[in-house]
Amino acid sequence: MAKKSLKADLQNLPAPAAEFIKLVINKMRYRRKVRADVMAELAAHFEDELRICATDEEKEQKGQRLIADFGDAKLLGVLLRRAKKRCRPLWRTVVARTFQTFCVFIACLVMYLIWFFSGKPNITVDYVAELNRMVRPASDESLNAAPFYNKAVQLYEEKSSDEIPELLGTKYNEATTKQKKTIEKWLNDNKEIFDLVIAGTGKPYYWQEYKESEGREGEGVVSVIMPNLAEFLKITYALRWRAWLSAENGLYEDAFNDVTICYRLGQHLSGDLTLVEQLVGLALETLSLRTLREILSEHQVDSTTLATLQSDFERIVADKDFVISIKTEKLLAYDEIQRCFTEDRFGGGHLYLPRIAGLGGPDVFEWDEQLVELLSSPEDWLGATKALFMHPNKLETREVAERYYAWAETIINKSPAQLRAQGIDVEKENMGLTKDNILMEILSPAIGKINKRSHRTKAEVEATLAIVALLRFKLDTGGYPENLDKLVQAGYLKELPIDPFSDELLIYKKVDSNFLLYSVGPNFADDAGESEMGDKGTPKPGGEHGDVVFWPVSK
Amino acid sequence: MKFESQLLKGIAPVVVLQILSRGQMYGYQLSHAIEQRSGDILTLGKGTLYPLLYNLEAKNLVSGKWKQADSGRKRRYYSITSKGKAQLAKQKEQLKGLATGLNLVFGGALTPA
Repeated sequence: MAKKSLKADLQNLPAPAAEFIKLVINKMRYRRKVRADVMAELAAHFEDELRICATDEEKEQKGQRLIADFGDAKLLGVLLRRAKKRCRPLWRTVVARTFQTFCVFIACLVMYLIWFFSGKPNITVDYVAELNRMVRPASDESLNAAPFYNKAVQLYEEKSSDEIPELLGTKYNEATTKQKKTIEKWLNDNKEIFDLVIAGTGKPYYWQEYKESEGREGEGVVSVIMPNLAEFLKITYALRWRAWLSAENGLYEDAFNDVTICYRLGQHLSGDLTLVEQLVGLALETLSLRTLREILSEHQVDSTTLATLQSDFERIVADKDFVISIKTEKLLAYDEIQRCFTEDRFGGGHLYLPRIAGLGGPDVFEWDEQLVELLSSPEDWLGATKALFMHPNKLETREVAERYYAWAETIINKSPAQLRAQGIDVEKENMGLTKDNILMEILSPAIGKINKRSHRTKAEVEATLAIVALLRFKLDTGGYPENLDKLVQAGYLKELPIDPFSDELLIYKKVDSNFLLYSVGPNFADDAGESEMGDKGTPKPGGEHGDVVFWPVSK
Repeated sequence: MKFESQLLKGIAPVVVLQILSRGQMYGYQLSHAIEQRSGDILTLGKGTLYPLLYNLEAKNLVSGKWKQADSGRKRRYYSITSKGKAQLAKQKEQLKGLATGLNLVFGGALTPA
């Protein structure tokens, strides 16, 4: 039925009748085609009823009676709609109901998402302040090494050209004569830097106030800056070079002093500091011990100097706990938990997406870009949906964090050999504790690797002390002992060096006029002193296969 | 005669089916046919007629089609379907039984003189 003919049909009717029909059709509120049909039918009925009327007045009156007979327009519209809906074929009913269900679902989803995304975290604890309270030793500022180190770093940055850091990173036996001369000159011209470091290492404590980085104020523990770490490493390289040059000139005491300074610098980066700082500290300690062994390998040092060196080192490492502290990591986790969940009110108690995305750092794509990327990857939808709607809430995550860190405390205090003997699969247990909790999966540190790192450093210290004792023994008696026990019995060593990967003594073997001292390494297997090789054909530092050989020193 | 709406409610569909069983009609024709064939005793309000027709159509008891009427205009003609015929036969039997029962109750007083 065309619109034009409908209008024409209604125009043939008295105005009240036409208005009545229009009103009924409006109240029907159904598909246009169906309403058009009904309108045509009603118009035809009125037309048939009014055909016999001779005058317009008669038509009007009869029309009014007919309207009264039809009854209430709204009710009629409702009845007609219901009846016409029943005429609908089954497939159309299914489609309509499906569409309605879908719309209801979408409406509920939209409302849920509005609720979901309207929540914001409520920061109640200043964990940066807590961190500063935790790490600050209870003593006066005059015992703090930080001002000396900061000044040394400042001078280093002023005095080093672009060439110097690269040169200092070169190994002594790989540097050309010209490079050695350049380095030596620079070291001599900038003695003030090292004097400041030496002054700093004489202080019992190192503490710097943690502050959030510029532009990230109010973002919590994760944004605190740890100044000078890279510069500490560069200064250690410089001291290492000075030690090599001193040894080259026969000034062994000066060389060992510089190595000891490097070690003390690394030792200051220990305790309840951030994990990154502690790992850098371990790296500095390891670097200094390796430098020491290299010098001992290349040079014949007299027994008296060696005894002084050993005594100094034993004093430095006495009562040293090599176990890494995870207290700051725990504070970080608690801080992030309060920042990554919305408040438990409107839109509350769930993950706060912008924060989660931002945990990757300011260089990561903005969270809305990540969301677009996620939406364009259907294979990630299930994981994302699970993360959004089924992730544990703040309280549950806090409980997971507490369980996790209680477990981590037990793990880091055990040697790798003890963990293996007890059948503890650290990676598996780590995953099990943080399973289905995205936040804890992101925040949990690699406890297994940290454990190996810290125990390995302890082995480096004990091995180095044993090596110095062995060299002294040989100088004093003319030969190396049959076993390490002889060193203790003869008073050359206070404690026997223990291999953290076997919980037994480090393996010592006399080889011709030399000796072999090594740990079985992370694979827990004795490879007869063979190390895992790197790409350049030299032993790979931190390799997971092969033995960790402390002596002889690889060229 | 004006009847109680509840009395008419049940029989309106069977009346419409009976009239349509004699030939297809459009709404206006059907409305007048009900009055004429019942001797003006039964009247079906216009507001009831069309919803009733659409309901019967939904149940597949009648079918509607637009056709050219004698007047030359298009009208929607309704005709009874085979399902409608079966329903009509069934309901006629039920009404006969009802009439018999009522007559017995009222002692034959319901039978027209």
